[in-house]
Amino acid sequence: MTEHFRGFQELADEPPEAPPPEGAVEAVTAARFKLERWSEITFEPRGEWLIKKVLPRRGLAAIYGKPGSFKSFVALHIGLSVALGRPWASRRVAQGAVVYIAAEGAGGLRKRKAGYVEDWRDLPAEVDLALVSAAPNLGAAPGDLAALIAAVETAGIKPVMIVVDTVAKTIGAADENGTGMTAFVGNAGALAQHFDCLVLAVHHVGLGEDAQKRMRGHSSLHGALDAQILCDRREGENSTTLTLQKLKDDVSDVKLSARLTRVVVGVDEDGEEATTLVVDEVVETDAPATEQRARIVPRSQRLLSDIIVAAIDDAGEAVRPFGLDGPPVRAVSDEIIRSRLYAAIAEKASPDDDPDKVAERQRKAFSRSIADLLKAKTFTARDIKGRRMLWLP
Amino acid sequence: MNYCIPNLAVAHDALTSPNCSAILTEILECALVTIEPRIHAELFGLGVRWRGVIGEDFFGALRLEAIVAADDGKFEFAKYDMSGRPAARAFLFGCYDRLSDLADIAAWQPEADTIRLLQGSVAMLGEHLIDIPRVAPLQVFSSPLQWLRADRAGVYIIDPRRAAAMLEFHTVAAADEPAGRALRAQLAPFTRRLPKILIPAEKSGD
Repeated sequence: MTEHFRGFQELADEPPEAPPPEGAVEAVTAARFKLERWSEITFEPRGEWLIKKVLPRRGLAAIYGKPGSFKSFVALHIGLSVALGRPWASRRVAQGAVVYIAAEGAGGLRKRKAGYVEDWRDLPAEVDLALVSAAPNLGAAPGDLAALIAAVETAGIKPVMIVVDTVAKTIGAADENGTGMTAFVGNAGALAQHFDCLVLAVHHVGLGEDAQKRMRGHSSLHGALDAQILCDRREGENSTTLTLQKLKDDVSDVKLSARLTRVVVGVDEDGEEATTLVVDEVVETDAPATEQRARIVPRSQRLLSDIIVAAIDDAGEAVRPFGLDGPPVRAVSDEIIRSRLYAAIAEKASPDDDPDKVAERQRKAFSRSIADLLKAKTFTARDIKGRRMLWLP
Repeated sequence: MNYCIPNLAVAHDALTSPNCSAILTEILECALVTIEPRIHAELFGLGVRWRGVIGEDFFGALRLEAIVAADDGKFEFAKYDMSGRPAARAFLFGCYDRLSDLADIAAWQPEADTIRLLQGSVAMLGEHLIDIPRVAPLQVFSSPLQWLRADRAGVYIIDPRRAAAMLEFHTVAAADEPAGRALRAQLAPFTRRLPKILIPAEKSGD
């Protein structure tokens, strides 16, 4: 897992620095907490999402649902998409290593992997997804947190996502409605912080009739989540609805549908087919209707359009852009249009305007508006004998 | 040169951003060097081969234009410049951003082997390559000339601050150990999570 690329080796770490001189301890301690001044507080929008507008790059998220709601299937599909860098639900994915903690037992995951190998013919032999088949105790502080971190680091993996399947199995005998859950939240947060990654917890719905659309156990989990997805299987169908109920710092109105397909992965001792389900596709459903916006033509485009039409009318010439056998069209050179537009902008300029700024306005208005008009197919252009000619299509 | 702009625009999926039309217009006004044998020979003399000259598509092909340097690492076309700053020849080509939108124009001046951008919209040359699946690590080149010589198969970092965030979940390769250390030093101030940096493996010696 550490090395997929033949002929390469990882760049060695920098040699350790010499221990700080006497008296420098205070300075080192102060450096643990770096203060950023206002001008230094920056935001990089491009590093925000693991799956765009679904899962953030770092933090804690949960996918939950009733038993049999396909939540583990979806979690594995998310993990595979991240490991492969493939879009998920047509959304951009940041590629990286994934660790999947199959605390409910690894048998199901092994079968699902065989399903994907069978179904996705282009699946590479090595995928950056590693399995932990034992259930770590994350329901106590610190529990197995250090051992889990050590296991991942020893394997040389720098995960961008760790899937914990399920919360209940990693809490163990601890109290899901109290200290056990708060310890889990603390451990999962520490795990995410240590690897600077996202921890995706797979969890169950509440036990009561009125708790089927909220997570089981102590509310500290809900409060700590950066994203929360409810998995709701459609009765009798191999498909499930994914409702993004919570997404930190953003409005969430996303509803997705995951469709699963049955795949034969082998034959057992009795000659019967062994099958599993793989997620076939995840698509957006029930998207809120967006009002059709009227197309607004910018003023600069309208001005240029008027100038071109007038120029074709009074200064146009007949050309045959498609060869001698093609039809003639009445076209005008873009130089004529440029000079007329420049004149129109100069006319509108105030006498106090800086001439350089007026010239810049003229240049930008021409280059941008003409490209927009051509892109919108309002006009057609072609180079004819060294001149760019424009005409109405 | 005989082209139809609307057809090109419609055929090319990348031309979707609002900024794109301005870039498109500007770049189409520059002279393509691919049809100029003398310039072509000059580039070949520098080790830039055919693929480095023509790029991936029409917009990426090298073009020739006079530019003036702006103070902020950007450039302006000499034909539009009113400042009276000295003009210099540069090879221009369109740059795609991470989402594969045609986002900027880069001006490469081979004499100093420097890159300037028209708008500063991209952080790397080859930025559109960083998220595509690959069978080899993403190569990071330490100069624009090296990038062109390698047929643009990788990236050259222009803005380390933004590049650090974009590369933090990637595995990248440098030409050798000094280049790898230089890359690490370039990105480290801007990220807590450096990309995994690979270098060519040492020969076993047998």
